[in-house]
Amino acid sequence: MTLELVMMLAIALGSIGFAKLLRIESIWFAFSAGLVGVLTLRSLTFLAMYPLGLGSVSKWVFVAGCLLFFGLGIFFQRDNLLRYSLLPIAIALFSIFTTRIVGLSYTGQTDSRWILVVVRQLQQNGDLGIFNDLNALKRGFIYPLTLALGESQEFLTSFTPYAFAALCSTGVAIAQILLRGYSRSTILLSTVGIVVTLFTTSMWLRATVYINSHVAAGLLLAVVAMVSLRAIEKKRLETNDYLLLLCTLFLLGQVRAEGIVVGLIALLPLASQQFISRKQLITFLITPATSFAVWLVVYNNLGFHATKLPAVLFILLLAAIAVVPAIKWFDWLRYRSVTIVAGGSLLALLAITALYPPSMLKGWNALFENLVLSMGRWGFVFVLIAVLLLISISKSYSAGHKLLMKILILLVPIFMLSKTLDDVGGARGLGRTGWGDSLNRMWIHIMVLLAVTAAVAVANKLQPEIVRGKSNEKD
Amino acid sequence: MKPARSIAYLVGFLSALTIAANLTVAFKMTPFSQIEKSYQVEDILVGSKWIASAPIVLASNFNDVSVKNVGIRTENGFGFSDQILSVWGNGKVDTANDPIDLRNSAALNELLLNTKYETDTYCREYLRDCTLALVWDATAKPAGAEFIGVRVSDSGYALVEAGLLKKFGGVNR
Repeated sequence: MTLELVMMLAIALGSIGFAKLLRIESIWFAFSAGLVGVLTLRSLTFLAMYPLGLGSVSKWVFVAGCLLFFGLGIFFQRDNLLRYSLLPIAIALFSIFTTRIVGLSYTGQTDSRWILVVVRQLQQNGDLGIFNDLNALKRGFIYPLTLALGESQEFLTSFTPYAFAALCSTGVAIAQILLRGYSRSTILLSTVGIVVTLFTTSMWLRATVYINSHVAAGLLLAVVAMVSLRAIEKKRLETNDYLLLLCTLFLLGQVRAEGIVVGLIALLPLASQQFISRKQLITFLITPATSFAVWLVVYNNLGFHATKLPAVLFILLLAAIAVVPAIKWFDWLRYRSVTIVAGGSLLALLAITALYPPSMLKGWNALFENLVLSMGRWGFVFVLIAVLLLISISKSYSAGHKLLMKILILLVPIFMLSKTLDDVGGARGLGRTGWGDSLNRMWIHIMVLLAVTAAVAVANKLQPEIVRGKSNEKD
Repeated sequence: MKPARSIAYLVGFLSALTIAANLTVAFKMTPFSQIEKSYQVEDILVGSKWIASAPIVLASNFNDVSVKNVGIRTENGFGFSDQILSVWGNGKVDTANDPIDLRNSAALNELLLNTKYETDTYCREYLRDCTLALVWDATAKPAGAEFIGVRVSDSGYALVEAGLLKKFGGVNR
C-alpha cells in the first residue's frame, strides 16, 4: 500500500501544481484540470521512455514531474495554496481508504479484466505489440497506463474513485458558472433532487470503483465542456484554457478507441465559433490525431502495421490528414458544423435502422429497457431528466446552457452510431439489454453533463428573470 | 399558486418519487459486488474464473508451456488466449489441429479426477457456454509442460498434461 499512497499523493500534488500554473480560480475545476495535466505527464513520460526500454522506470520520472509541477505551481502562485490542496489530497486519501481499507472495487466484467492484463504487461515493460488486435485497442491506453502506477503485479486501485471525484467536481464547476445569479433556494431545489437520484442508481455507484475507462472519458468530455463554456462566456479562448484543452484533446486521443472522434465532436460548439483562430483550430485537430497515432505506433500497432510506413511518417501522415478540415474552404461548414453533424448523425441512425431493421429494432428496444425500465441499472434517472427537461422548456436559455445542450445533442447519436459500428461485421445493432452493454456503460461519459443541463433548466424555469437579465446584459 | 412555486413542488415530488423507485423497484444490482481480498491482478483474474484465465493458471504453474490441439474456436476448437499466456510467461499455442475427441473414452472420468482448474471458455460462434478444465498430475510434477486439448463432452474441453494423457490406457493420442 506504500506505493499506492506515494503515487496518489504524487498525483494530487501534481494536480495542484498544474492547476496553479494554469491560474484556475475555481477549486472544483482546479481539481479536474490538474488531473488532466498529470495524466498528460504520465502519457508523455511513458511514451518517451518505453521505446528506449525504460517503460517501468517512467513511473519514477512521472513522480518527479508531479513534484516539479507542484514546486513550480507554488513558486509562481503561492496564494490560497491550502484551499487548492485540500480537495485533491483529501480525495486521494479517501480513495485509498475506500479501495484499500474498505475493499470496494468492481472488476467483474470482461473489459475490466482485459484492462488488468494490459496493466500487468505495462508494469513488466513487456512487449505491447502482442495486443495487436481490436480487443486491446477498444480498452484504451491512458487509463491502464495510470493503473499500472500501482504496486507490482497489482494496480492503482484508488485512481478510479479519484477520477470519479474529479468528474463530479467538473460538474460542480460547470453548475457554478451556469447557476450564477440564482437564489440559494433555486439552486438547492434544482440540484439536490437530481444529485440524490443519481447516487441512488446502481450504475453511478458502481462507476466509482468500476475498472474501465468510462469515468476517465467522462472527465475529459466534461473538461472540454467546461473550457468551451468559459471561452463562450468570455468570447475568447484564453491561453491557460487553450493549453488545458490541448492536454485534454491529447488524452482523448488515447482514452478509448472512439475517443478522438467523440472528443472532436464535443469540441464542435467551440470550434465553430468565429473567435477561434485558424492556428487554434489546427492544433485542436493535430493534437488528438498525433496522440492517437503515437498510441498506435508505440502500443497497439493495429492500423500502423497495415500501412507498412515508418513510424514518423505514419504519425505525420495522420496529423496531416487531421488538418484538412482546418482549410479555409471548409470554414462555411465549420460555422454550421453543429447542425450538420447533429442532423447527419441522426439521419445516419435512421438510415441504419432502415437498412438493418431486425437487429436495430431489437437494439432500440434494448435501449428503452435499459434507460426507461431500469434494466441498464440506471434506476429511473433518465426518466427524471427527460421529464425535468420537458417541464422546464423555456423561450430563452443562457449561452452556456445552450452550449451544454449542443454538446449532448451531438454526443448522444454519436455514441449510438459508434455502437452500431462496434459489432464485428458492420452496422448491426444498438446493444443488448443489461448493464454490461457497452452503450449502456457509455452513458457514464455524459451523465454529469446531462444532470447539470437538467438542473440548470429547472433553475431557469424557477427564476426565468435571471436568464432574461443575462441576455439583456449582453444586448 | 405562482407558476414557479408549482414547478418547485413538482420537481420535489418527482425527485422524491424517482429516489424511492430507485431504492426499491430498481435497485437490483449491488454496485460493488466484490469486496476485494487481494489486489494481485492474477488472484483477481484466476479467482473470478474469468473466461480467459486458463493461460494464467498454466503459466503460473509451469515454466514453458506448450499447448497443442486447441483448434479454431469458431469451428471445432475452444478459446485459449496466446496473448495472455505471453503476458504471464513463455509458451506457444498451436491451433493447427482440433482437440482429440475423448467423449467415448472409458478412462475419461478417471482422467478428469486430476482436474486442477475449471472455467468457462469460448467455443463455436464466440459462445461462452463451453467449459475448459486444466488437468495435470500434481503428485508427479511433470518435467515438461506440454498440454493437449481434448474434447470431453459436447460443450466441454480439457487441456491435459501430455504425460498424464499418455499414462491413461485407452486414450489414443
